[in-house]
Amino acid sequence: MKKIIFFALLFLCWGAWAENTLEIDTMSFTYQAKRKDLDAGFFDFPGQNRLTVDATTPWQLYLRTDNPVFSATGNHYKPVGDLLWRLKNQGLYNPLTHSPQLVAEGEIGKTQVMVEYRMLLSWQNLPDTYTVTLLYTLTSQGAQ
Amino acid sequence: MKRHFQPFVFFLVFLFTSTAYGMLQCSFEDRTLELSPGERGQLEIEVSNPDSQPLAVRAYIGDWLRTEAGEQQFHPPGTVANSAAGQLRLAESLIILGPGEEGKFKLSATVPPQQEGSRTAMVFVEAERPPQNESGSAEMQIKFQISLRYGIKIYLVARGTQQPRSRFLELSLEPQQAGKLPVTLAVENTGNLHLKYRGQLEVRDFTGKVLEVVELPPFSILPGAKLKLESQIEPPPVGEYLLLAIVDYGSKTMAAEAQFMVKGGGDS
Repeated sequence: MKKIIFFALLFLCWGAWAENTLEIDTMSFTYQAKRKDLDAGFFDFPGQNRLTVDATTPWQLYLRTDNPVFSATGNHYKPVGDLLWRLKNQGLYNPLTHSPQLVAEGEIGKTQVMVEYRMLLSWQNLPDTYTVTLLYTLTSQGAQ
Repeated sequence: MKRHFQPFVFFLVFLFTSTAYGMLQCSFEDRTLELSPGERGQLEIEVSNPDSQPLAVRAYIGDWLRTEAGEQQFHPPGTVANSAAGQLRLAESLIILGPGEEGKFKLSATVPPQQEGSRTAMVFVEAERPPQNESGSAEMQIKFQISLRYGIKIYLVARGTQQPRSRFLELSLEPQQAGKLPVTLAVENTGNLHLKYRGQLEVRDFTGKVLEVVELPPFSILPGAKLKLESQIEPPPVGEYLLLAIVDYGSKTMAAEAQFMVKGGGDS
C-alpha cells in the first residue's frame, strides 16, 4: 500500500513538474517582398507561429516587444506597430506594441495557440536591416 | 517615392536556434510567502531543461499589476505601488542547465517592519536569447527574434497585519444583445491583502425563487485595485426581477442587488 501511495505521489509530482511548459515550433521564414507587396502596402507571412502551453494552472499569454521601434543598423525609422499579429483567422490584425497584449488564456492542460503575422510595407521605408524581438510571456491568471 | 526599390527588396527572417530554445520548463504557479514584519524568508523557482543541449536560463525581478479590464501589465522593478520587488533578492540571475538537468533559482525575501498586508512582484524566467545575426547581405532586411519567458507572481504577506476588505462598485444590466442581457460587475479591493474571489449571479423573481444561476469565473484583485467583470444572463419572461451578485473572498461573503424589468420585446 505504501508503495502504491509513494508511486502515486511520485507520478503526481512528476506530472505537476513536467506540464508547465511553453514551447514554440521550430520554424524559419525567409520572405523576399516583391514589388507587388510594396504596392499593396503589406504582405502576410507564409505560415504562423504555433505556441504550445502545457500548464497545471490557468494561464494567460501576453505579447510585447522590447522596443517601440525596429532597431536598424542604418538608424532608419520603422515602428514596431508596422508588424501586425492575430490569432489564426480570427478577427482583425493588432499592431504590435511595446506594452503587453493578451494573446490567449486557458485552463489546465495542453493548448495550442496559432499566431499569424502581417508586415506593413511602404515605399518610404529606406533600405536597412530592421530587427525586432517579440517577447511572449506566460503567467498565471492569478485567481486560483 | 519608388526610387528606394531595388531588386533585393525585403528579406524577412525568423531566427530560431533550435527547439531547445522554447523548451525551458518552469513551474509558474503563484508563490505566497507569509512572514512576520522584520522577518526574512526564502523561495525557490524550479526550472528544467528537457532537451539534449545545454541551456542558459536567466531570472530577473519586475513589477506587475492588473488593469480594471483584467489584463496584466509588466513594469520595471520598483515602479508600481505596493511593489515587493525591492524586498526580493535572487541568489543568482543566471544558471546553466545541462541536458535533462533541473535547477532552482533561490530568492530571499524580507518583510520590513512597516509593511502591512501583502505586496507583490514578478520573477521572470527565460532561456537566454540567441545572439542576433547582424550580418545580413541584403540591403533591406527585417529580422524577428522570438523570446519566451515565464512570469511568476510572488506575494509577500506581513503576518498579523492582514485586513481583507472589499466592496461592489457597480452591478448593472444593459438592454438585450444577441438574446442575452449583459451584466457589468465592478469590485474594489479596499483592504491591504491581495484577494481571490469566487461568486455567482442569481436571477430571482419577487417571491425569492431563483430562476437562473450564472457562475462567475474566479478572479483576483490586488490591494487598492478595481476590476470590472462582464457577464450575461438569459432574459426571463416579461416581469420584474432581482439580479443578485454573491461573491466570496477568503472567509467573507458580500452581495449586491439590482432590480430590473423585462418588457415586451425583451427590453430590460
